[in-house]
Amino acid sequence: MNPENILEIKDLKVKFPVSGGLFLRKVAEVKAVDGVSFELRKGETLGLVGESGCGKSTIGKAVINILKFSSHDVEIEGEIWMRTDAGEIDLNKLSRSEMRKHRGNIQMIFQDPYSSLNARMSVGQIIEEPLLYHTNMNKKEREDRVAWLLEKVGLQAEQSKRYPHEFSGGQRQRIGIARALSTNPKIIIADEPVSALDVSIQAQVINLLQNLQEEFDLSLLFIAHDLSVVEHISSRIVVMYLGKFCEVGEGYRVYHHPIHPYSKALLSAVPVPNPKLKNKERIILKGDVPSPMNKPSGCVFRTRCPIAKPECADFIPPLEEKEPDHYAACPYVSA
Amino acid sequence: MHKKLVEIKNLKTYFFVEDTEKQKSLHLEISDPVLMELYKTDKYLKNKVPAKAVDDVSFDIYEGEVLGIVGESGSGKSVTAYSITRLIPDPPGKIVSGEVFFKGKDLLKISFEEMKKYRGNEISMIFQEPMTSLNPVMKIGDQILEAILNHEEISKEEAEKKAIEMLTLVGISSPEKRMKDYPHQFSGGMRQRVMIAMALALHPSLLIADEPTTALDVTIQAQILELMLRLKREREESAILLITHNLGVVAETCDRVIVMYGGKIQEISEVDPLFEKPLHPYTVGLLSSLPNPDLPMEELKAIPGNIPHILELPKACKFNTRCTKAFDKCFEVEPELLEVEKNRFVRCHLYESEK
Repeated sequence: MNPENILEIKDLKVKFPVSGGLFLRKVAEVKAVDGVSFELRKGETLGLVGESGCGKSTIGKAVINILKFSSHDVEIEGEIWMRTDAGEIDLNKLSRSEMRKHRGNIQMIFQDPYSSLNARMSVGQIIEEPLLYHTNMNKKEREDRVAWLLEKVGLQAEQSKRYPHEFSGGQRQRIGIARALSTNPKIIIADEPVSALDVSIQAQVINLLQNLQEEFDLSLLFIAHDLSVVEHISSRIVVMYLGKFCEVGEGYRVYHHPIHPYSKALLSAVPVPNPKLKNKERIILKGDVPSPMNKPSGCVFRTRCPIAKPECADFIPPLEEKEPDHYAACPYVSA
Repeated sequence: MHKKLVEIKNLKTYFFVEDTEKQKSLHLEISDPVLMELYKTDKYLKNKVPAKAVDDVSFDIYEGEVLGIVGESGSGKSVTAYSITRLIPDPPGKIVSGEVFFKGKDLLKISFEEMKKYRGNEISMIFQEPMTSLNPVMKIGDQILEAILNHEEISKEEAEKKAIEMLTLVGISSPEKRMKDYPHQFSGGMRQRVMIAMALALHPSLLIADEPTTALDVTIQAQILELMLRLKREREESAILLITHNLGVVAETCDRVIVMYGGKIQEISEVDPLFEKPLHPYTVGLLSSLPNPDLPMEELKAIPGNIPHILELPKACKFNTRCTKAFDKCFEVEPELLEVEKNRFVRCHLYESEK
């Protein structure tokens, strides 16, 4: 592993079986993630964007290694190397109990602040729970840590006795963040952490995440579909389409100078809050994303690509370095 | 300026929810004679308190315009739209008072049977969830036919022809074949196209679109918005009322914008000046809390605090709990919606002296 990296993913493939027929045999499979490799550098925020069904959440779940234990028959191939104090380990090879030892280092923040908190537990219990399993703290230490965490995320320590329904969406998301931070993790996977929130609250939570990242020295994998939010928070951005990476590069470059035809279309489709840019040139893609069960051959984007050629059906374009640290998976474009 | 299509005056839509604790002190607080009368006559309201979802809202919709209503959850933007078509579930909701003139006729005064003639024909709606607003056990074609046949006296063959024409118009390929499909065979974007086809089949004068693209991906959102605007351009006298929380969508599609917060209109403006120079502190906060792509990594200027619960809205100015510019008067007197520039209305004490 490169010493700069905290996480290295090599050729990750996730396949979900589709069963049918009389005995519910496996009749097909969905390659939700189809051979992606990337690294998460220490202290950086890597933004993962794409439309629904592109596999971005599946990557998050595969990396944190909960997919294997939560969905039956899923096939996960590839290597997921994580740097820990005890050396480098491949998370994909670990059993459930072995993985549990490392969960304190890698934590997740979920999209829906309403369903991701147990309604029958008080906020204090919710935040305390990871401490019970991953640390040796005694009761007093745990209580102190919960109080400290609550204040860190902008709530009050006295609120630990309250229950989730007494909080608003933004406050619940803060509770989710406090829970993720409780074990002092090195890596946080945030799966659409702000997309369920109102604009004014969204800004508060983004600011909070950024401040905490600095303070806790976190490496963040930030999964979202809102490009302006991803650009704001990420040092690097990955653009995904149908289980494959289209473009990887430094956040500002990808947002302002996208190379891949899909990234270009995606970015031009984002409505800009500035009426002066109303008539900007817009690439409107035709049609819908094809079904992941029935992907096009060769380049997966070719059915909607404005510059597709007949040859695109014949080969799968690899990621090529178009300019320093900026990769795109299309041979017909350049920076 | 074009003719007024809809004129909404002092619309109040309340939802009555049970809350015995607050109820005790309620009698002292009710000053509104209409509400007092309502409590006297309606037994159902015993032990219930009003949640003022839409509280004294007045605005006009002109022919040919796209009017946007923006606001966060609970601001009353959807309830305003539902009140126009009288689709408020009663109980618990009630249009307490106000007038909604549509082409000169007060929609709140006519009977339910008469109202049916307006829905679909004159005013139609597109809802947020394309997944749930279509009937899952009915073929797409039959659903469109139902809408057409309910309102127009034409033969089934003619209606079928019209349905196919509408589906072609919204860009669904091989519409004859797709008419026989069920909603689950369509993707989210295509379902929303079907909804638009149904909504526009009868050439309504007013199309109310309640968060039409919120559940969709950005590339599909761009398709749908372009489609809506294209269809509107083709029929000049019709208007769109677009309800959204996405300021980007507003900037790109609307001619005029209403900003709502806490059940009240806080600002009405044409779209360009609103984004150039927002006046109300809430609008200012909303715009500056958006990430600016040219200044990444910089701290966002978020509006402090949380959106207050609808039963716990503050007295006087509804925004005073989160406003950074609030002063004494803001906690004592509710500001009026004043015209500070031409076609520009703001509800804020800061701008009162300018008048």
